Amino acid sequence: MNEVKVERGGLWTSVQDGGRAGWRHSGMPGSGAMDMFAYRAANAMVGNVRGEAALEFTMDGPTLVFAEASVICVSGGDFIASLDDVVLPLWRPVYVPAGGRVRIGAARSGYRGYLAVAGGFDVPAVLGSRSMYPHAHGFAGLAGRALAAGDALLLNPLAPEAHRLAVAAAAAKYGLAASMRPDYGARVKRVRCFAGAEHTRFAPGVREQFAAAPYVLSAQSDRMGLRLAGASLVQPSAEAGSMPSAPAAVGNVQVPPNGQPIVLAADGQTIGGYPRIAQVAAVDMPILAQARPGDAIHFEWITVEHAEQLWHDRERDFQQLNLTMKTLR
Amino acid sequence: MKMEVVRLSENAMLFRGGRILNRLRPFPGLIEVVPAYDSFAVFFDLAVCTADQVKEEVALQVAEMVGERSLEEGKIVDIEVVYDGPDLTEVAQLIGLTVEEVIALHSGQVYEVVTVGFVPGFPFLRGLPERLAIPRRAEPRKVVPAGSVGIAGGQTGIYPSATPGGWHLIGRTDARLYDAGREAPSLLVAGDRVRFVPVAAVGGARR
Repeated sequence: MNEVKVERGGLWTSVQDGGRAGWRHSGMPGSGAMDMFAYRAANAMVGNVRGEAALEFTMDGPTLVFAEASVICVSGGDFIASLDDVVLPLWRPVYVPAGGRVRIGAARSGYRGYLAVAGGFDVPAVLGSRSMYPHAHGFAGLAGRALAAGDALLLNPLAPEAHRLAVAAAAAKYGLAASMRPDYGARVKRVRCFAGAEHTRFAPGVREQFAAAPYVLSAQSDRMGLRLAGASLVQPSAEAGSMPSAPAAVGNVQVPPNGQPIVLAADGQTIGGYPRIAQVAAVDMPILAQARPGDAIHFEWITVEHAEQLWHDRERDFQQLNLTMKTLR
Repeated sequence: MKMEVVRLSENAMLFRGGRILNRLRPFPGLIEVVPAYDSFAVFFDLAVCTADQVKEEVALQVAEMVGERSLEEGKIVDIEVVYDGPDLTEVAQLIGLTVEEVIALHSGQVYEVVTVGFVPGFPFLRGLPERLAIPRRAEPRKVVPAGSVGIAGGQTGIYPSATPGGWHLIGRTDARLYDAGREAPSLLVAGDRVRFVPVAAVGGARR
């Protein structure tokens, strides 16, 4: 039985997958990887095509020992990583021998990292997903909590043929070039948005203001919401706070009465009472997920049609990537 | 129903000026319906259908629903409550009633679940008597214990788990509002009816 021992949990490491769909009506958010691009890329690199569960770590990653030979991929922020004390390259499949120790240290840039393993982590799925939900009673992932030293994670068994193919892919040393990844490293992060559900409640000047100067990511941000500080987005006083609660979605840019926007993230609430000035394009949520507290975010208006096109382009890129990884084998 | 339709995200549309429950007939690409007060969201898979198709399909189905007694379909759930909340006396004083009168008012209604959210399983209930409509607490609590029954802003609700909260707490229940291991994780869904049944502090709601 292939098992991964956790020697060090890291700052905040959880099991995540593509998220739970279909439970928002019960108040349960989708959860799942904050940086869907990096998560999906890591899975693609190890030949996982069914949304297998991976690890998401934050700022400082875990130390893991693999009982049996495995193929892994680490992606996301620019984390310092090693395999048995030799530098471990990111964004490409890597062969880990039996007993291999993978150490993930601090991120040189970026904020969240992912570790996928061929076959995926085997934790029980709850409501159709293995993603940790840490609030309320907490469930899934590893019993609804972050990884800690002494934990052990099981891996899904991999057929000998699949294992052989993953090893071959690792040997091919094919990685995902920086040019094919979102521009995580930019000093001012550019995040595209389209009109939010209540954008007409804001004066045109306020909508311009939102995209005119950068906002700074606040340290109060987490997987529920990314809080921003910058130009205050005022609403006509008669309307402020008068909105009946309405369904919310990931990427909603909510404006509470203090005028400082909050972007709803993976674990964000399903119902909200604040007007939404903008909606972050899904393809740019990974950029926000990799921003650190203090980083500058520059919003840019695009049309919803453009955002849809970007979404389809991204899906095509992943189909292509999965195909490429298959041919490598 | 004359509805306004806006985009909520690439994979969701928000329909305003109408209310349906989680009962759309399945169509290719439909993920789920999230009902709220006078709006609902339809989440869909952009790889399978377009936003325009969702709009048309929903308009078609909503047109068929007109005249249907969609609200009567919800189940009626009795929730046992020990009315001994930390704000009960204050609430009674604030509105000039006795504690007994507040309990009688609160438990004398049949409430409708408008939506479930805030945290998993938290029901927003419509039907609070006008007399009990008071604003939120000036200072929200950092932790409201699980099972607390609260009122605020013309609504009443139940906290399924310990969370921060600004509602006035008038009672508590042992009902399990959310359990991810159940087939229907949320005890209540939009459209259900709720009756609060007062029970004694000892041996009542404590099962």
